Amino acid sequence: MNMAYISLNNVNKKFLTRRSEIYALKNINMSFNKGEFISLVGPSGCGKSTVIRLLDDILKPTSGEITVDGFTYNNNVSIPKDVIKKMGFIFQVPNLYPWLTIRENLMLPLKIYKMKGTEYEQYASSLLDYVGLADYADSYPSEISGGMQQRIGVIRGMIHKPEIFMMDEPFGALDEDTRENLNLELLEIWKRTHMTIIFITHNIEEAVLMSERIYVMSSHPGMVKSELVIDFGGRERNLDLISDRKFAGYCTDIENMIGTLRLDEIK
Amino acid sequence: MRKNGNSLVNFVNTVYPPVLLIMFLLIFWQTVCSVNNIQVWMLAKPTDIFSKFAANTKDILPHIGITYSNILIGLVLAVVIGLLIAVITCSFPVAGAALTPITVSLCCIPMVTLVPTLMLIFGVGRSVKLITIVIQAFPIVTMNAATGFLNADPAHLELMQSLKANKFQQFKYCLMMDALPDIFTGIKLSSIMAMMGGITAEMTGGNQGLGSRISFYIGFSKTPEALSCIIYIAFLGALLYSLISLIEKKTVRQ
Repeated sequence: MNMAYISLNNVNKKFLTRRSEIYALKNINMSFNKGEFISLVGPSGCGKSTVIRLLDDILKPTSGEITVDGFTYNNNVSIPKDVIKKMGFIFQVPNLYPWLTIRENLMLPLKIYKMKGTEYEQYASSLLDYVGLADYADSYPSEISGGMQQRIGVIRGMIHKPEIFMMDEPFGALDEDTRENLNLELLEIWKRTHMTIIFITHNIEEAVLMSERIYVMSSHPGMVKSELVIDFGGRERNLDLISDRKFAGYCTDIENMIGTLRLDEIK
Repeated sequence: MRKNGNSLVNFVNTVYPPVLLIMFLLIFWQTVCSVNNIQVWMLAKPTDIFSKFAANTKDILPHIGITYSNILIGLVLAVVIGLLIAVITCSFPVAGAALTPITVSLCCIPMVTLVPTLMLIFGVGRSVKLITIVIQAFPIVTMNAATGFLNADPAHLELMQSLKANKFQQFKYCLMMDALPDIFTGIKLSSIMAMMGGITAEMTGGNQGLGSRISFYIGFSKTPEALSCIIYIAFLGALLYSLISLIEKKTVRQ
């Protein structure tokens, strides 16, 4: 078996609060292959956001190891700059800085990574074109709509040409239509670039439509409940899939899984 | 976004209410003084004060220059020192714990009680005035800036962490900008403090600056002259405050 591109090995994460210790993640083992689209779903509080924060080294695991592209880091070892540059992180909210224009917001990661040059300027312009916001490059975030802001949030995560895309319920705060459009745009981006995408959502249909593989997680403590391969026999991923019998089947399976998780909790 | 055509209307709308109110108060003041036949040395009428303005300006002008340059230099020093201490306070918890009580205490000390001691040490020259202004003005900058740094949006910071920005980059691109509105509040308040500190020091000792003139005129019961100096102070203070507000409007975008 060849080594996975990204893997979490026996990762545990505890949060210390004033009164007690909370077990956020327990014995997490996951692996992600290069170019794969993977979703993490689960009830709220299952630690799915914590997983990608550990991957991105925003949080440190209490124990266990994470390996990305051959480099291993853990509680003591931080991720080096050239590995972090391979990752793009998309937040649940657009998280644009209100004091920067749209273009300045978009270029911010490049400033941090000290990447300069006309090729990046052109790439920024082409990304703005791609999401149809070239006219708003010099506007401020407060002057554009929430959906537009999140588009900028997404392309900001791509500006340094990462290979891994981590998305924390990126379209959760948007209305149904905008969300659907942005999901389709994301699929397009994935097809074009073949990045590795780790997508966090609580929307099961969304996860089944987009992902090749889904990790279902349970909460208190966060654990991997099961792993599902989503296979539509090579059919192209688009909205037509929703009418597929398999699609409904996958959704029901996951819903039942999460449903029994909830029942377990009540007991 | 307001259209250009409205900006003139807006300007006029913000100017005429204070002008009207001040006119009304001056007329009231004048009438009360005239009707009750109050002595000039007790409370001068506005007309007495304004007639002194013209006569005194030549004498007072150099003093205005001294006072104002002291206050501007002192304020700049206070802002720099205040921001530095705020950064130290927020970066190193132990240093913060050590410094905060002192900063807060300094805010509470009326400078008029400290200036005589300072003058024993530093004399009555320019340095003691600058020292007074800085001591009076910097704690307010520190307190407000520290509040701003500590209240920075956690999501904004998380973006910096997700990019593995170093401490300096986090400060430059995120913390500083997030704290800017609070920093400006601190600077505006400290400009008032600087004005108070500067005049207090001048009134206590030395023969230069508007404060020393006020002491001098009051000593000779020249009330209209003293009041004309006080009006200068009020005007210059308001000018400084609005200048800082203007800079704030141009730089802060939240």
